Amino acid sequence: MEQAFTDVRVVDLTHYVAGPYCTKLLADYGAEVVKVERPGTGDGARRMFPFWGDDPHPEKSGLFLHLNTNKKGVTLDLKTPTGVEILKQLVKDADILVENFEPRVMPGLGLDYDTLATVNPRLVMTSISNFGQTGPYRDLKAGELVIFGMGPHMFVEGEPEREPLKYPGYKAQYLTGTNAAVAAIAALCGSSAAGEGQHVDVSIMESLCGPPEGAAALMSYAFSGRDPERPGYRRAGGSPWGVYRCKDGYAFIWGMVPMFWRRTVRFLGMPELLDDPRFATPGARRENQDDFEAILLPWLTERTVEEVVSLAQAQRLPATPVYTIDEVVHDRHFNARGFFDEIEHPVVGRLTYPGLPFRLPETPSQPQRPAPLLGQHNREVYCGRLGYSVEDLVKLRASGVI
Amino acid sequence: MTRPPLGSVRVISHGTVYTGSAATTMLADMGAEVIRVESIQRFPAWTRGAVARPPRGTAPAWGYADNDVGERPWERFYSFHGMNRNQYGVTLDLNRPEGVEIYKKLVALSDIILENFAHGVMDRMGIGYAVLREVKPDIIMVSASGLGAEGPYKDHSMFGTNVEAISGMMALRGYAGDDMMVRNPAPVWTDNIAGSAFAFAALAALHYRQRTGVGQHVDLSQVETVIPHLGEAVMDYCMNGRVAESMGNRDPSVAPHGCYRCKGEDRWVTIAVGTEEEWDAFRRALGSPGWAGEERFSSMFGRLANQDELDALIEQWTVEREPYEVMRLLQEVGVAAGPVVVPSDLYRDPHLQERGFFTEVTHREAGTHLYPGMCFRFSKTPVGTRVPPNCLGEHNRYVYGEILGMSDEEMGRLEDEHLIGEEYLPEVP
Repeated sequence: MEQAFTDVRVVDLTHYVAGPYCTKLLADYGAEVVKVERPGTGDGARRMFPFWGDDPHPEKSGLFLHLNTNKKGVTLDLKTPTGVEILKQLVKDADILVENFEPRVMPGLGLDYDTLATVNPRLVMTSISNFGQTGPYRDLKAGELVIFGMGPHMFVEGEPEREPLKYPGYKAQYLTGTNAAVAAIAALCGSSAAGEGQHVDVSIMESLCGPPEGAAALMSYAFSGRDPERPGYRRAGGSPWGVYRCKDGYAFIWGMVPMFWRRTVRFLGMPELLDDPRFATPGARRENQDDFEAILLPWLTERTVEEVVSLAQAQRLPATPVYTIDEVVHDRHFNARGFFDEIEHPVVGRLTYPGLPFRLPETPSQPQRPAPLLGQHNREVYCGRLGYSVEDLVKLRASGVI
Repeated sequence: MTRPPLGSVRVISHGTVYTGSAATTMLADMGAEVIRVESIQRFPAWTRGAVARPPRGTAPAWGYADNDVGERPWERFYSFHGMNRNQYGVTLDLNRPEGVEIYKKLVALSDIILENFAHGVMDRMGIGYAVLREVKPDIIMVSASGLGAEGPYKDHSMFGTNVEAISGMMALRGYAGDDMMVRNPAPVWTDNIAGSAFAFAALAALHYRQRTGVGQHVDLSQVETVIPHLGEAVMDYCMNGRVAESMGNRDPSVAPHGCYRCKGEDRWVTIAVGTEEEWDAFRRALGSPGWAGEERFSSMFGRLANQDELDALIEQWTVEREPYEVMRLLQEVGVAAGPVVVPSDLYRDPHLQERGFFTEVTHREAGTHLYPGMCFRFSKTPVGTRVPPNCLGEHNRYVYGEILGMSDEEMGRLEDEHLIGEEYLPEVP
């Protein structure tokens, strides 16, 4: 069935997280993505946690399975001249190439943008890297932890007396993958109009410094000349604000602003607080925050998360459950919206996967295809699309090219 | 090729706060003509400050240009400046029929509408998708609410941190083994995710329309843009029934992998040593201290098992050095290490400077400052700041006059009747 990017062909030279999430977004909305992996080992994410059945195996990494849905997989050794030749054939009728090698790798393979543009002038080449394709840090080494610390978010996360904290998982890489997908599709829009593609340089460090959150932190410094502190969880902005313990779990309540005080009082069913001089003004409430929390905290622990959230929301006070991941998967709202996908995979079987970030109503989603096994689509792509014979494939395999 | 990638696309933005502003700025950075619709009747809290007119001298002025709220504080608020550029700002009172009629004329000449009001607000103003499709049949509308327009919680009030809480991310953010109560409530990382996904949704719908001529209305739930970014945790639960917990700075398969105190006040460095080869290089860079040769640290398995002791020993070395020095010493031997930076470090950073990340912008109301730039570069159509962050109603004359062809008299009347204007009405809080 017709999808948003049904007419888009992508050559995918990505590995680990940022690049594969970019091409996953293109594939999930219908692009034909051919993921090119190194023969024998494949994408490094195949060796990353978690593993199905806690069994480390290249076809059982949950991270890899999630990041590579709806792609076709081929193997190709780009360090051989034949491999480079075959890649150029794939590029010839592609619209977009995405890669996230270290910046010196593609030129080293003879696959820099200028060379690929002579093969296909319409090509949009999208390069994702830690620091970008230029600049003094270009070749520095960094994984998620190191690059995250080099953006403005890490320093302010954590307790003031303890070490700063990175965010969980691969937040910087997922975000940059999304930004790269935005840039690639925009550039494709431009190349369709101009008949000429270009090279898009997407940097994780600059994604961390870009809009909205990073840019706000930087602008705050530009305007004030002051660096931030690491505030920790202290509810310095007022109360209720933050995570609160309830009878059976935790709720997050966002109610510290003056306009939410009346809602808070109605939520608690304690109209007498409106006449209490300790809480009469925003300044007084900040001053006597401990007194207020002494009322609030025990009240919350007598009620379930569901009760707290529904009482608060009835007063339009923004409260939500603080979900653990199992609660997310079983939540009735996400399931009523059909968010999660069920996908059958030849090795790990049928599993629930995170769904798409949004659905396009004009192109109701088709059954999702699982991540490719290593080299699963060699024959389909090399014979079906590029015209190699089955005998050629045998020779290519014997010589280690695929 | 000089025309930027989205040079032929016109976008109407109701983008507020962070998510909406980020999405529209990304499209604007890539060349789209973005018209930001605001009004002089309603102050968008958290977009242009907490209130329209914080009293001079009494409120903390941090966040305002040069620590001064000025005559028109809404033109000097930091976050608006950080994430709104290259857009044309108009004002319009959409609560009056004439405002709606003018709006429809603009829609007839536009391609995409982005809005991140609570769900239902556009309908109540009489400018929901069903109405606007009558005006412009192939219009694309993307609505980004907290939880989406369908489903049991569709009417819940949400801010960015609520999105984080219900997505599962907040439970994972924190020190290993800490109490959920001590999660910092301030960061709104999910706005980054939702903002970027918001822009991507608009472009996916635009690409589809270019091929088919068909527009559509995308109902985007910000929470659903976040859950895929937790994919490995979702998969671990669905595959193994394991409920992930916060791990702090650690990694399940790599040690050392942490953040270490350095010389100086509250200065830190991160280090990650991923392979045996890197471990050997790391030991040599530290001067091959005795402990680094101990049996218990001789394999990744051993280093993972003895991580607390390992981290304490590494910190004895880092605490004598500044973070940039640690970065240099370790990067020279091929080990990943970097400073944990504050904004002033980034403004001084030689890498961002050489890449021209910061741009000097002079703003009519806020003066001249260095602004953070874009997160992508295009080789043939460089993008930059063409238009500084817009003042309220700054481009009324351009949009209503040049695009819609209104006369000066007509626009003068609209100003007199407060349908348009350049300052919030005095009664706006």
